[in-house]
Amino acid sequence: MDESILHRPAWQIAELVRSGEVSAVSVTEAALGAIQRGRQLGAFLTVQGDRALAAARSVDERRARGEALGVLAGVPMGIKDPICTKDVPTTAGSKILVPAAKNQGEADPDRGWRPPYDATVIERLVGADAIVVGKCNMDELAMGSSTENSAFYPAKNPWDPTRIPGGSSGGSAVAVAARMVPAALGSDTGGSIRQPAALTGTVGVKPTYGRVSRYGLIAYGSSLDHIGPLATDVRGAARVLSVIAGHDPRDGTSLRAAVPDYEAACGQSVRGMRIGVPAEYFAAGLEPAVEASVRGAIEALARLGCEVKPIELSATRHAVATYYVIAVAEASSNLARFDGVRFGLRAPAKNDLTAMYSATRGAGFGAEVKRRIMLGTYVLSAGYYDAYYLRAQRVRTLFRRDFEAAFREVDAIATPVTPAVAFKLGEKVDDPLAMYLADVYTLPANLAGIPALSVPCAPAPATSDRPELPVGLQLMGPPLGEERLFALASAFETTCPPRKPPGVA
Amino acid sequence: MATDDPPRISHDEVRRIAQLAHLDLPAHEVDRMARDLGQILAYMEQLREVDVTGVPATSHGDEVGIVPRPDEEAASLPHEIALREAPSVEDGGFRVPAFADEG
Repeated sequence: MDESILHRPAWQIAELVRSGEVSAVSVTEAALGAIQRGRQLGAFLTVQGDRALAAARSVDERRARGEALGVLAGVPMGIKDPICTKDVPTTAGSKILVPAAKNQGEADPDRGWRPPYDATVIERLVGADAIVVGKCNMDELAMGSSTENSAFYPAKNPWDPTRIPGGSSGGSAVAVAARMVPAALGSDTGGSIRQPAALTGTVGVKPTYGRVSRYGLIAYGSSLDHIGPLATDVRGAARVLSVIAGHDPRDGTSLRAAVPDYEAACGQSVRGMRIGVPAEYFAAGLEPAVEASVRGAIEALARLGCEVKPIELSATRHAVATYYVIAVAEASSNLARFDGVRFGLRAPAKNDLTAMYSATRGAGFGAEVKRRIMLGTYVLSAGYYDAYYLRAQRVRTLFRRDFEAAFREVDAIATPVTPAVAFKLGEKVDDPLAMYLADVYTLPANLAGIPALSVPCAPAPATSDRPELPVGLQLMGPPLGEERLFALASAFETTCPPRKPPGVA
Repeated sequence: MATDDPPRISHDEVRRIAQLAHLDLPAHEVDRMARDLGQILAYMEQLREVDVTGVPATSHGDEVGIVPRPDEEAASLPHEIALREAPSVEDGGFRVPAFADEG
């Protein structure tokens, strides 16, 4: 089977399908073949081959009848698993959404909860004739930065399968990096799109809070949750965002602002744009190879005509503490819905309701989810609410003020996405705080609700104990400033074209 | 944050929080949970140092432009679909164990 079509970006595949040069069925078959061959990377929890092929046939038939096709016609896409897909198993990486079965062996995500409706983003992708091929692996309930917290199996980095791909949208990033699909959806509560994109050499976009409907996203931290695209190139990500963005009356936090043509922003001149570089993001703890790559990318932006200037984001050092108080508090409330009554797992043989709740949740949640529910319950409990939760919400305001002040001086901010390249599987599993600390560069954009993306910059060179590994450049903008981020990222991409992991030929 | 700080969360407190969270925690997980929570909460203590005098709380990234939708009648989930994934169903409703007498 010819899988080379999958080496083309999402926008180009759509144009080839729209013009009839390739069929949606052939692209979908190629994707299903690549997923099958790459299954040891653990990118997918559920693959929906028959459904995907049926959808692809329908796209091809409509083209044969002369109907106009959508802008994602025939583009196979992976969907992170907290995003509800009607009648298709959805687990969010957790056993709590896999009903108990007789003769049960290992919990199987294919037996997971079947949502009664599609998330708004799924309706929009399908409306643009994209092909949903399956549900992507993730840290359980989006809690984690390595995809090792998946209740089923970890995902592995195609650049070095002994390393993590990042998380929590690790499966989506692996699927795109390994060219199983040209684009995928992820969710980003504290960096969960941008960080795996950086560690796998893909493009990942967290839009402005409210830009993309969260209807049908299994909630983690509602004031911090975002859905966004991952793709092999900037323009592909822009096209997907143009499709999924926009007002949705079913999400009360959805913004009414009109959706610009993000793809048209790609390729626009960035001459004269002012780029802020905050010293706080280049502090101790930043790996030298990552710093060198990101500084090189900022120099490339300067050569493209941008004006680079230092800025101050003084709240940064409190990002991890602020974020983790707020996120766990919201999580402990959101996760109360998993109680064994209406869907998913119910622990057996308990004769009163409260005991059934506790047994179900004790059996269904993994260690990191339990830790965050416990922390969240603690920081919201009587006597601690003011000291932790309310105080963190007030410090959160300082992040907004930092960015508001910065964006009076500059058009965008350039930083690293992560302090280090992908680490080894198992390396940080027993040190939750160390795992949290590595999120420091991505958390502020979630706290402030501003758009941010990760675009690959020069990889960290191979050393004696590791191969060449991807590094991401983070670009942040003011609210609804996605267009300028796409302009900057696509301009930068011309100086640093997308690379494929070794073995993805 | 130094890991040799004395744990600030006792085993009893872990069990109390677990009860509030409706979370069965086996005995062998209590000690680990107490250590993890203690370490993470010790790190979060830094928020006390931040001067937030006169600073209001932010509850959302963007609170501008959020408008409630009109309160209009609309179709809802069909009954049988709402029940189809339930672990236990009886008489057209979700079946649950008896309520404990907590009085």
